[in-house]
Formats: sequence, C-alpha cells, structure tokens
Amino acid sequence: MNMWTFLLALTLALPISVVVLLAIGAFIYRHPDDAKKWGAILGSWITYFYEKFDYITIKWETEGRLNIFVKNLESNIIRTFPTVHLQWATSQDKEEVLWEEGRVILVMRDRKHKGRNFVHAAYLFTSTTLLQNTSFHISKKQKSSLELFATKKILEDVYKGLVLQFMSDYFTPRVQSDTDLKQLITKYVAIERIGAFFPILIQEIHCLGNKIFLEETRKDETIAEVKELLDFLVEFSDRRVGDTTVPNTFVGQFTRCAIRIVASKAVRERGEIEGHKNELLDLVKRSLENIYIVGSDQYENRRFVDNVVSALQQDAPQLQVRKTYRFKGKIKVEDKWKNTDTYLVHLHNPDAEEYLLTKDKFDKESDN
Amino acid sequence: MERQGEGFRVILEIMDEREQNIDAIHERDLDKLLKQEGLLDAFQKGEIFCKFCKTKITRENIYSILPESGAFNFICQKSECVGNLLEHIDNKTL
Repeated sequence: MNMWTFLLALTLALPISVVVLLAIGAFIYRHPDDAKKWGAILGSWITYFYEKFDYITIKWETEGRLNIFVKNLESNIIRTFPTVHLQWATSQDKEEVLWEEGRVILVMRDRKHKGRNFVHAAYLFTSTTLLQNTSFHISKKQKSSLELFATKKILEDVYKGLVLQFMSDYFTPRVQSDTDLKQLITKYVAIERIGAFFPILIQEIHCLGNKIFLEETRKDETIAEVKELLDFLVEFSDRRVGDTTVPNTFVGQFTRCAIRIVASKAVRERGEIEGHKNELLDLVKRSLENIYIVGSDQYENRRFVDNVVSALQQDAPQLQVRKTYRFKGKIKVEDKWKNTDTYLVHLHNPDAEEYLLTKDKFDKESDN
Repeated sequence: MERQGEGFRVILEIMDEREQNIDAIHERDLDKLLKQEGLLDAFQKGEIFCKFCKTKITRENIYSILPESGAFNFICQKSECVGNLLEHIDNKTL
C-alpha cells in the first residue's frame, strides 16, 4: 500500500474533523515557520471579529434593553420617548475618536459587564430625558431622589436581575447617608403604594420641566409646590378607610394640575355626582392642564367615577380622557394595611396648555 | 386645509422617528482618545482627576468623559459624582 492509498483509506475511515486536525498537525510539523505566520494571520482575524462582535453585542444589548425600559415608561405616563441608540464615539475605521462639545461620553466595559453598562445608560437616560430640564424648577435633592427611585422602579419591572447592580452602584451609596434623600424616598414609597408615582407625580414633574416662567425665577415657589404635591399624595396614601379629614383636592399653581379624590362611600351610595362634578368644573375654569381623579377600583366606585367624568365632559366638552389606570395598591383598615385596587382617570384640557407663563398670569390667578 | 393636514402628517412622522443618541466609548478605545487629545501621558502618570471629587481617574473607576469649553473633564464612577454630572448636564441644557 503506497502513502496516497493509505491517506485515502484514512480519510474515509476517520471523521472529517480528525482528518483536518491531522493535516494541520502534519503541516505544523513539517513547516513550523509557515505555520506561525498563518497562525498569526488567523489569530488577528479571530481577534478582529471577536472585538467587532464585542462592539455589536454591547450596542444591541444596551439599545434593546433601553428601548424596552422606555416602552415601560410610556405605559406609565403620557409621553412618547425617542428611540435610543448607542453611538460609538470611534470612527468607522476606529482610527479617530469623535466627540462633541458638551456631550457626555459614557465609558462602556466589555460585554462581560453588560448589566453594568445597561444600568449606567438607563440612569443617564432617566435623568436626561424623563426628568429633562427639571433642575430649574425642583431642588437638587428632589431631582436626585426622583431619578434614583424612578430608575429603580423601572428596573424592578423590566430587569429585576439588574436592581442589585443599580442599588450597589448608585442607590445605596447616595441614599444611605443622606437624611433628606431618605425622607423623600420614604414619601415615594408611600405614593407608589397607591400607584401614583409615575402616572401623577412623574407626569407632573416632567410637564413642569417644560414650562418657562418668563419674567422671574420661581424656583422657591415651585420647590414648595412639589413638596405640597408630595405631602398631599402621601397623606392620601396613608389614609384609613372612612377617614374624611384627609383633604380631597390638590391644586397646583405652577404644575397647573389638580388631583381630586373620589372615594366617599356615602356619596357614592347616594349617587350624588353633582357635587363632584361642580367642584371639578370650578377646577376646569381655573385653566388647569391636567386633572386626575383617583378612587377605589371597586366596580361601584369605578362606575361612579365614570359617571362624574361623563357629566363633567357634558359641561366641559374640551376635556379629554387621556388615560385610565387600574393598579394594585394598599389602604389602611383599622391600622392594618389591606390590598386594594385604585382607579385613576387622567383628564387633559388642551385649551389650558401653556408653556410660557407670565407674571401677569400668576398675579391674576392669585387675585382670583 | 389639505395642505395643513399634510404638514401635520409630516410633523407626526418626524416625531415618530425621533432618535436619541447616547455617546459611548469602549474601554478598549480609551487610550486612542487620550492619545489623540494628548492626555495619555498625564493619564498614565495619574495626573487626571475626577471633575467633582478630585479622585485620581483610572481605567477601573472611569465612568464618563465630558468635553467642555475646550477641555476634557473626567468623571469617576462614585454615585455622588455621577449624580453631580447628571445635575451639571441638566443645568447646561437650560
């Protein structure tokens, strides 16, 4: 048997992978220097593709997750957000790093740290998009606490596995030693208990960020109003069933919103929608952009709220029902927390939409 | 009227196609940027500090870079510094 016959027999007898390996082994043995040269070329190709793959994986992973994060936000507040893209600062041939004055460049780690990369990008997104421009109207602590709590909440809904990363990187170090932040977070926990964190609080803070008070800075007043809004929502979330001492209406002069609680069992059972309707109509006349009606999600109460809204819309046809929410919450029954569901109707008055607010307007409203 | 409707349609389409870019650099390209901007030596000597807490910036603790007023600011990953950066960006956009 000659060598070629032997090789042919071997090829037919062994699996192809073994044959290839044997051939490579034979080549390395007979031509060690050529083998090194080809090995280096092959190695550089593998490295090139591996690195390229790393960039693509990080980009897709972060973009995909961020856009799910954004969609989740959109289901909780009335606003559409842009599609997020991760843009590498390196040029196509990677020879040059491109940057733009005033734009933050995030440093992304390799794909082993995909959770960390995403958490960094999500936190940046919450701050720069969801709470964009709000620094001018709310305090530092209010803004930081909202960014932290909002990001944590969305991560809990979308990527529970990354909450720990966010807690250890940002939340805990910031909040642990800061009494003010702790107090604000405590309020958000209470507000979230009735499901109002995103649909009311964040919605209104976001709207506030887009307003400009033309003649003078109103920061002290807007900070105070946000505090009042928080206190109102906290007081409502802490109420006991049947407690009629808790205020049932909040009106924001700067946020230009009103919140009305419709929860009295006695009024509902008597079917008296007129009282609620008339008081809401007074709010509409005050040119408020958003009116939130909150109550129990029990069937009878929900129907009662819907009847109030229908009656209101007959007298104020410009009002639009922007969205209705039904969410799980808790209420105190004889000092014990009991699960309950909440119903929220978000009414919007397009005629009252204003972004540029003058001093005259506020003075006129104060006189009223 | 029809023309106005067309105008609204175009605006809505533009709104739908809005995109937001997050600028990023891979840690692997960090040296390239530093070299390009003449900062590699300073970085290697440990002479680059966090804009907010003045901690030495290293490959391990760098969070982001902010080119601003002709200079490069570096921010470390301490949660307080990231918080300060977010506030800084928000103030700058006003």
